[in-house]
Amino acid sequence: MIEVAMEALRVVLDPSRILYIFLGVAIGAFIGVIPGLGGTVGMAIVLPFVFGMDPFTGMALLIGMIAVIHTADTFPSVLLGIPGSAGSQATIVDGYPLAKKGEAARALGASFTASLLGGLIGGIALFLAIQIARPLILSFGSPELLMLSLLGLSMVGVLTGKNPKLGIGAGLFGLLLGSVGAAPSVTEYRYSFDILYLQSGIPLPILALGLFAFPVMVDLVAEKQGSIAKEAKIGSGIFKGVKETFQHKFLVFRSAVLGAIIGFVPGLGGSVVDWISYGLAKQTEKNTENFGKGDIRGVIAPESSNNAKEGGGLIPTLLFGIPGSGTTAMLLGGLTLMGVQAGPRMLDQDLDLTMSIIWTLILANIIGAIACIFLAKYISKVALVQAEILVPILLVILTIGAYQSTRHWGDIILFFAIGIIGWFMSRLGWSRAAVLIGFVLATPIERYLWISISRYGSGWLTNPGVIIIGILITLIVIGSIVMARREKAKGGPTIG
Amino acid sequence: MDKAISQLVFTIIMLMFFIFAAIEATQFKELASYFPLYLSLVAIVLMVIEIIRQVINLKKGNEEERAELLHPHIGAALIYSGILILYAVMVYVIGMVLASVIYVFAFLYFIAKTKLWKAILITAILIGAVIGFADLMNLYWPKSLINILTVIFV
Repeated sequence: MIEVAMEALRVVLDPSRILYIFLGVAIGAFIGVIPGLGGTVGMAIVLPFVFGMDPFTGMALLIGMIAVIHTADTFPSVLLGIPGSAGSQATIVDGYPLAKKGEAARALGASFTASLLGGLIGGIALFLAIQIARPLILSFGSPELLMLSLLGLSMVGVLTGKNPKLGIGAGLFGLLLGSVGAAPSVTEYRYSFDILYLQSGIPLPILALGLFAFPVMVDLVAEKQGSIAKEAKIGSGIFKGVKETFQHKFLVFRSAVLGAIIGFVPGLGGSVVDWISYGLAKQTEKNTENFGKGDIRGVIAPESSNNAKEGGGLIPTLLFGIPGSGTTAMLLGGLTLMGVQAGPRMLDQDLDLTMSIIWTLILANIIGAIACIFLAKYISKVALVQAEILVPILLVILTIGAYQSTRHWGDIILFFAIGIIGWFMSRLGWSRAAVLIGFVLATPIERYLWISISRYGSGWLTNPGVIIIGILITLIVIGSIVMARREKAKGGPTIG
Repeated sequence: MDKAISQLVFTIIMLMFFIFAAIEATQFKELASYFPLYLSLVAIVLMVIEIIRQVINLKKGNEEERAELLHPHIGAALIYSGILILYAVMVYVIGMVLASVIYVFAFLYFIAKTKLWKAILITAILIGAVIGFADLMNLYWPKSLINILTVIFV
């Protein structure tokens, strides 16, 4: 294992790949700084361009970008009081009051260092998970993998949407979209209506761009986001914040471990990881009377966990082939575009690629944090870019990106059509992440189902692993519906 | 636009989609039909339950829930969606580079209300960067009506 890790490090340190890590970090920093964008949109933008790249280079670009989004998204949270992405909402609670007191640099310094350390711990968690889970995962057969895919999809469906039934419906919608094109078990083109373009299926980058990037563009320009503040003063004291983070090393460690664990659970992570670690810090730390008024620990805790979450989130994605969020679903799709199949193979034939992903995650976190610390003054200016300026620029890039999928006009038409559906879904609380994950999992689920039936008949249904996961799925779905009803009875938020 | 009504309409559209998918699946070869057919059937059951729940909620509906809007600036959102789609039409008619130049400049100058020099500068930098990047990464440009007509007539 160590030998493979060292070989992977050598591959990652190749100058051309380092260049792509830098490019990914730069894109990730830009995406993170702009309020309203985020990992999923960033991934949708970059995904079409990895087609045809070798997996090591493509992963350098994608992981480089994902790794730093939660480092850079602190800028708008601290300076403007607007979350840069869903994972940086809790940072506002103490980061923004610190900025108002003239201590923005201190908050940013602490945040970048916490993000760096959190990212490293997330990378280490991924490495350790491989060591521990390897024998177990390699013993899984198609029936267990099928059930795990269904477990991941149902968890995302019930946890990411506001209504569990709509979440599951969204997942089923994704699975159906994923079944467009050639059937895996027999020669048959499904839902292609004799249109040549549809015979090879809907391209993943188009679905991702339409579902996530188009609605963001409409909302950015319609709600005039990103032009709220006129200036963002950083001031001095960035290294004071860096020093303070090291003084709170146990808080960093605790929050990062929590982030990695939450990231591991499909459907969680995203917008809850920062709040959970913030809440835990407030409950477990001493002298918490200043929390909410500008306590540096209120910045350190969420920032450590939201970067560590990325490492945790990669565990089910790479090892089981089950993405836990829209971003990891696209990462999984990116791997497929580059000819790699996630799942147990990533611990066997493609172990070197898995190791290179861990190294890229670690390196990108280091590069991103250092860049943010030293270029804070300049990067922060991006947060003030007017949304209306950004939209046409994004539109041109997205349209070119969309066209690269199959180089057919169908790509562009489908991008706008799915974009409109995605906009309605985002406004009505349908889980777009569940659609995307359903889409990505459609082919493996059907293949696992086909192999399970053809190899074991109906006997696979009595496998202990299948029964245990089946019970888990049932409990999750029923539990979420019961909880949603209780929430509604209490007067909690519901949709429709 | 009322969010609860929009939700109901959207759920009905999804139900129709799943019904269509189920009917279509019955036309496939047996082995290819199981997966989409059973998925659609489960989805149909879910959507019917959800529609009944939404209709009951709408009948009971409290004022607060009914007052929730689909979008705070629905008019602007629809207009801007149209403006974004206009770009695709322009790309189809006059080609990617020319459409991008006109569209980006017009958007910046008339919608973003940037200064003339700023609009020209941003457009020039963007188009330069896009052409450079496309060249570096061997990207393809969408074919336009002008391309097609040129091939036919020249």
